[in-house]
Amino acid sequence: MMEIKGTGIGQGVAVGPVVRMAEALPEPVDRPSHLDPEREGERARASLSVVAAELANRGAKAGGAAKDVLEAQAMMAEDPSLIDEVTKLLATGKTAERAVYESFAAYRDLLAGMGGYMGERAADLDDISQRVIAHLLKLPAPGVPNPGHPFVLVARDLAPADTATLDLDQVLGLVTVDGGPTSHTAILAREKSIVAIVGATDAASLADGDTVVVACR
Amino acid sequence: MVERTVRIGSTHGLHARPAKLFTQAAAASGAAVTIQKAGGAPVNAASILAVIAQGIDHGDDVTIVVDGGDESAVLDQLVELLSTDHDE
Repeated sequence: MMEIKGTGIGQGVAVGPVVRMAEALPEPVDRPSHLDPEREGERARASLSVVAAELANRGAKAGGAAKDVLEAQAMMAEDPSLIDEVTKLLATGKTAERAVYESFAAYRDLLAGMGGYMGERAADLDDISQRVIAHLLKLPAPGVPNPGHPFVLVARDLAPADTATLDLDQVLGLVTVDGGPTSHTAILAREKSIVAIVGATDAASLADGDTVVVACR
Repeated sequence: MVERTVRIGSTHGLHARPAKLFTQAAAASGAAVTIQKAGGAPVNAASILAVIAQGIDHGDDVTIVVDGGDESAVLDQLVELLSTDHDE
């Protein structure tokens, strides 16, 4: 038996099979688009607005502290300054995927450089960016998997959009490789009374179907 | 076009929830609204990213400019939002 340590959130024990959350999408390749900028612009705006609606929806369902966070994220997905930036990049012949990636990354770097609260919003922007790019590529949105049976969710880190919509009947516990006691995962795990271990570096080696005991004390 | 300078009332500045409330109100007003931190450049008040990227803190003075629509009423509403402490 292998023991993996991290920072425990809450108290309790959960036992169950591991289901891993999909890893991040690769960075979109910077190649010239074969579509014209207007068409790419339509694609980008459509995906941004679908993701904004999804985030707002999740916020409405989640309520509480998560609602404000998700509503703010929905606004970021349809932010007029961001859309201006995307449009500017598309005019240079980039694909919608690449323009969305670069525009969010520019704001992410700006906010990360400010530190503190702004630094945390930087991670939110990465999450929104991934969702929009997944929608453009017609890939499943990154997020909490739904295997149809109770499971222990293992992820690199969880974004507010993920933790807010965890189905308590299915998610026995949470283990994240990154994140600390003040991460979104930890805050929302406390709010929803889900047993969680954050910053469990060695959890990266866990595979789907492994049985784990999550113990916090 | 109407403008006014106001001091930020929220304890944690124009971040998080206060920034969201402000940009939502600016976007919903139908008017062109800019917010300018003392010493900075005016940015689109309907853009949450542009607003939080200004790093506006508690006690900072910001200038709001409203152009179009029911300018005075919009300005009053936004000034009220900014001077209130939403983090209490």
